[in-house]
Amino acid sequence: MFFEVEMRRLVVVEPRELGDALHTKRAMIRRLIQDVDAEQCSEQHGYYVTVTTLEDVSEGKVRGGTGSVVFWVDFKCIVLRLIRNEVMEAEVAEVMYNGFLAACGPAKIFVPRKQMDGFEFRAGPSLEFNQWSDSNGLLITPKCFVRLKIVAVRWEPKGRILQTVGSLNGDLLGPVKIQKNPVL
Amino acid sequence: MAAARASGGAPLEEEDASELKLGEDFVKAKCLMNAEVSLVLQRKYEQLQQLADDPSAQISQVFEKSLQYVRRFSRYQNPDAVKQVREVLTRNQLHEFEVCVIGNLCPETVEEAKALVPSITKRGRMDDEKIETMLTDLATIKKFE
Repeated sequence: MFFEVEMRRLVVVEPRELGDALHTKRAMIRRLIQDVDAEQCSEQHGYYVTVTTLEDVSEGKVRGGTGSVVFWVDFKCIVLRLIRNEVMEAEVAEVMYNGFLAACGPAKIFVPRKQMDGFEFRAGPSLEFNQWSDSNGLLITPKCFVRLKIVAVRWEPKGRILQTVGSLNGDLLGPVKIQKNPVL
Repeated sequence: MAAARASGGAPLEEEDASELKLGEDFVKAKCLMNAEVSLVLQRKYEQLQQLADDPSAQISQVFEKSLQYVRRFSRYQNPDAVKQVREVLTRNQLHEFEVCVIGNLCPETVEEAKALVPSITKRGRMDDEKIETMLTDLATIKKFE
């Protein structure tokens, strides 16, 4: 699910970026956006999609030694955070013998074989032709859409991502057909 | 799986969307439907493209992937329709999170809605009849979009 969260962050503006009030503010905003984009993902908030509004900026303080000015900035940001037991739709990215990988924007969701009862794996001539199928003729192939339920979310400090495990076991979960929106 | 869990951080077990426990960071947060995110990101994307020569206007990967995702998975395109959907759903005293799950997945039947959003019937807020009316309202918006 996408959320809009309120956040507070320390933004550092270097001396060479300083100028009149407007100039400094622009540099500060630029820094903020860069910092948030660079962080990409955190345990607390999930994936940082974009900064939306600036709420409040504290008085700048000069840091001794470097001459940089630091501001506390309150702002709002759109984040993507998958929550356990949430039902959502995703696009299948990769199909393997031990499950499949689905993508929900920047987040990747792994659905292991154990979490898809009734499906059987069939290897194709190459990776993109691998598929899982069940007795009702439902197919899971790369690029198809599935509705799945999140069963576990775990922070992976090494890769700075949230590892997510999904499941197709449950009512009304599985491959879905969505009329395609014109992708611009 | 067990070995992987031991090496990484603690699993985030205390949250549970089916009981509307979103974790403390998201209690005050505003939930957004895919269609709403799509409107915001799309506009931002156009703005950023106009500033394409400015190095600070670079589009992050997370942004780009999210935009692709919401474009593909939003059920409503028209900004007015999106607004109406939120109105209809909020009118029914639903929790924000429930509003967005229903707005994203567009269940067609009462059973489907109850299965996707188990919390909807808890605390006696919604009976089948109310859910039915709500879903009909949503279908009407979709039809006239």
